[in-house]
Amino acid sequence: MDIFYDFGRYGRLLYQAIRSSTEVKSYYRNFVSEMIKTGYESLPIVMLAGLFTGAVLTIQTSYQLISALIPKSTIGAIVSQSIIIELAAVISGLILAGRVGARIATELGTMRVSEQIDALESMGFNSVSFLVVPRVLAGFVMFPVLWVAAATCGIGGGILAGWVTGSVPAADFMQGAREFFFAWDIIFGLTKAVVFGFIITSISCFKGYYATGGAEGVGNATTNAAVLSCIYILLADLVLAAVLL
Amino acid sequence: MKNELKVGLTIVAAIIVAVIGYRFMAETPIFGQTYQLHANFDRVDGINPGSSIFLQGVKIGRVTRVSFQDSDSVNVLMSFNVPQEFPVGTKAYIRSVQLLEKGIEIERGDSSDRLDSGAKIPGFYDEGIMGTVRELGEETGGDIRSSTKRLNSVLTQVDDMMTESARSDIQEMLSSLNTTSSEVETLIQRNNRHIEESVTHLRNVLQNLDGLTTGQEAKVDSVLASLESTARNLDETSASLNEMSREVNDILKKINEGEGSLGRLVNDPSLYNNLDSLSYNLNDLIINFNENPRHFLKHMRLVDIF
Amino acid sequence: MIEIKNLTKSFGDNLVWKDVSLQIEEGRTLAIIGKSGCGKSVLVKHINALMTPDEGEVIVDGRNIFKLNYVELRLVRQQFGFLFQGAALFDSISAYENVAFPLRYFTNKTEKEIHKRVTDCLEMVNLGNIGNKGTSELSGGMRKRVGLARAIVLQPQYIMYDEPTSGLDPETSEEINELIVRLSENLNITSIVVTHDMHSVLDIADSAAFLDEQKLSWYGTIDELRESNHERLMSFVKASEYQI
Repeated sequence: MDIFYDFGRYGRLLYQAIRSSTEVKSYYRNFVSEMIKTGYESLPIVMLAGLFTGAVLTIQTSYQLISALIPKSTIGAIVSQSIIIELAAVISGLILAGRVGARIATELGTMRVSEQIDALESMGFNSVSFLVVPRVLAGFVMFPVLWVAAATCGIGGGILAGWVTGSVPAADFMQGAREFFFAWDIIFGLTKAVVFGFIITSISCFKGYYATGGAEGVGNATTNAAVLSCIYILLADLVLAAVLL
Repeated sequence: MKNELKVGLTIVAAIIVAVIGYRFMAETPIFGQTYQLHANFDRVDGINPGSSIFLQGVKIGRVTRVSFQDSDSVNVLMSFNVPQEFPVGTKAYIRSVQLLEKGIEIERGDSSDRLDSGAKIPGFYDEGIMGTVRELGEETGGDIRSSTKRLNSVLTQVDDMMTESARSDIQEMLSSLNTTSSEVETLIQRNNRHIEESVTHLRNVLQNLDGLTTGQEAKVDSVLASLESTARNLDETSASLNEMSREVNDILKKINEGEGSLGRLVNDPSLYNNLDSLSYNLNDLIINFNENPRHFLKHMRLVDIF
Repeated sequence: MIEIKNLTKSFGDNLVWKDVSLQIEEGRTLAIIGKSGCGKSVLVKHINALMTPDEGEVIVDGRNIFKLNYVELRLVRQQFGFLFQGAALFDSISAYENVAFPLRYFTNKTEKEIHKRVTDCLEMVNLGNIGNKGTSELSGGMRKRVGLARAIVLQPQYIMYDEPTSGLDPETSEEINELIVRLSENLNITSIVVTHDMHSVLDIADSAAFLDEQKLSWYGTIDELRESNHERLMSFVKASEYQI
């Protein structure tokens, strides 16, 4: 029963967020600073993750595909397509569930248990539009940006690893990557990024906004936010793959 | 304001990277407009957005969009990565560019006028290699079937021949052949003595003749007559010799001409031909596979593992 | 004028209190007293609709606040200042900005006017030169005073104090109590004070409401309180070691 109760409250929070998303004045400032925290400050970790994912994928794929029958460009095709349709979005999603999700849940949870949210409400603020809307919107805007960074660095990392280890020449890698490059894959990857961004920010806002109890409550909210974000990212990944491919 | 600037720059940088990256990966010019042409085809089996476009075997572009023009033709929008527009009169053919993949091949026109981007060129659907292969397959299907049948029966016969009795037959045949040849040898030896005797006789005769001729010219005539009959005898001997060698010849000839099981085994040309063409076909397939493995592998979509 | 009529609240299966009715006259100070966990803070949070009751209504200036739409409720809420238990300062901005915060969002004042108003409010709570200190650098008493400055910055008609003296030393508590009295007298503000500190009650309140056994157990003026022989109320007053 609890899960339906949670879904109900989550839905109501989203409904309030959508309804109050017109109050731009009250959340504009927070929106900008959230884009900095969610997007700009997450760029290094996401780029690093992309770089290493691409590099590892290239090295391992070339290890798996040692055969005279398979041309080296196949490695480029596998690596770049995997990164674009799956790994750029999922790896950065899982990392950001920890980085962004935990931060949002902690911030809102602390504000809840120290009555800062009540303080906002008592001043006449709409706390949902002030706190939830800018965070979710920042997720919408910045996750595609982070995805572009992750995907670019992933393919770059793949080329680099192929070149350094000598397993795939850069020209072969690019030939394969281009051979299997479809515009639809980009749309698919970006869709994933947007959906994951929404999942992380909305679930974390929900968990933080409804945190109860003191420090322990905030801790629980943070843990739940990160874990639930990861679970729903994987679930959404499956659903998107089934629906869109 | 500083935060707004950071956010703005980040978003703009991401958009720029995305656009450049996309155009780089899609092999369209990174800056400037893409050169595009339309072509109408009756049918476009095997052509999808992303299919390659070739000019004299060089990849010069991709199919961007495939859409219905009207009820009986399909419009294909092609994007090219070429430094110069194509001349008027350029045509597009859908052909098999590799064993299993269809592509569009461009044949340049020879006019001095150029086609603007967005112009329409005529398109043709070629059955291509796969079509030929299909026809060939239909034609040769019967042949292959009967060849296989024949090969089968030959193999059965060979199998039969290799039973115990057949093997002893062959053994017997070979031993009788042996006897025949030794008989021929004895015959020749025996005749040799006869010839030697004949030659001695002849010498005696000649001596007698020498003695006789002096003053016995009248008798020489009768001697010559008897000599003549002797020579006739000699003739007969050589004829029987001839007969013998012809018989040996006949046996060898029979083997040669493929009569009897052994002969067939050695001589049936269709068996050899069938085996030969089989190995040739296999060779072809392996060469094709070696040259273009990804066209056999493409549809495996290895990446779907992830 | 605030009227609370037949208010009932429960969290799940746990009843907090039921059938609470109170009246708070213009310019007077009401103290809500009771043991920890008896639902005092929950009650005040109903007065500006931070929480909604299971039953009953709260009437502020003739209107039931639970029936208002969002814009109307906002206007009502802005008539209330609220000093929270832990001061509830926004910890991402400085003390000064905390006080300036409502001004920036709800008025069209220029930076100069904002500065003047913030400085005035800070002076009113005896924090003349707080500068741009972060909230984490402030002591407990200073936090409460900044919170109070923030509560009065929009010139509210009503102020609600949730445990204003809890966790403070007696001297600072005394200072805060004086502040509350001064504000209510100087600005003619109606005050509702939640406390379990009988010092505060007798110093600042005109009337008192005693929440006990999940209901409003006793309600009357301070004079009546001194003469009351309500058993549980007296034991509560005695336990706070205050000699009447």
